[in-house]
Amino acid sequence: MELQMVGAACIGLVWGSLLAAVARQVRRPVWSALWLSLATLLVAATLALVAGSSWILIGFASAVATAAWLQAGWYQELRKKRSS
Amino acid sequence: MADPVQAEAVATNLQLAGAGSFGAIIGWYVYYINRYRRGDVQFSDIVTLVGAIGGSAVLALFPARGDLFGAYGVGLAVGFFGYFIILSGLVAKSRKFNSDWFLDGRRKRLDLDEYIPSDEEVRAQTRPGMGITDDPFKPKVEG
Repeated sequence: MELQMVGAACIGLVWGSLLAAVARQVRRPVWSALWLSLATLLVAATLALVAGSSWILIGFASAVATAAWLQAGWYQELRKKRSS
Repeated sequence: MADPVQAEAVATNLQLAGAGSFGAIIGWYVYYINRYRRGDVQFSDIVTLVGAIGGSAVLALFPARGDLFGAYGVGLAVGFFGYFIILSGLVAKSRKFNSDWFLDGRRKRLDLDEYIPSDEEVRAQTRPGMGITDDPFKPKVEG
């Protein structure tokens, strides 16, 4: 795998993680976080087109999915602790 | 847009290391800025951060599809996730925090001989004002 592919995927990973972190801090209704996510995805897609690498989008999607999975697991654990 | 001729040029190891280090610093600060951001989340926050990560200025510095762009991206991830890993290590080592702090901010109460300084106190300690009276380097006037 070439360095530019790895680099583009890394940029996507950082971007997706950042979105997950920011969306978590949204205090307003859920649709606001969804709107933020969609808008960021659009910007990511634009950069991927400009940079000419779909690896940005692959990294982005991986990071968002991983963050969602991790946070769901952590909250489940937290809920268990609170109920016990 | 990137110049294809420039993008295809082979970068030296020093250039790759420089681009990677630059990315690492940006990644570290992106995490830092997001962590200490005050106020409600705005869309402009994302735009600002995204501009720092992969905006036109970065693409002008490191042409897309080039090795320098790749090294910058790897450095960015190292800086960003490095901050998180070091923070996680500090939380794991601390007696007062555990992983729940990441979720809802819970922590143990301070001991009796501990306190958290206010923002004003921290600013006064790190950036003394110009008009301070007890400046140790100021020459004393006799008489």
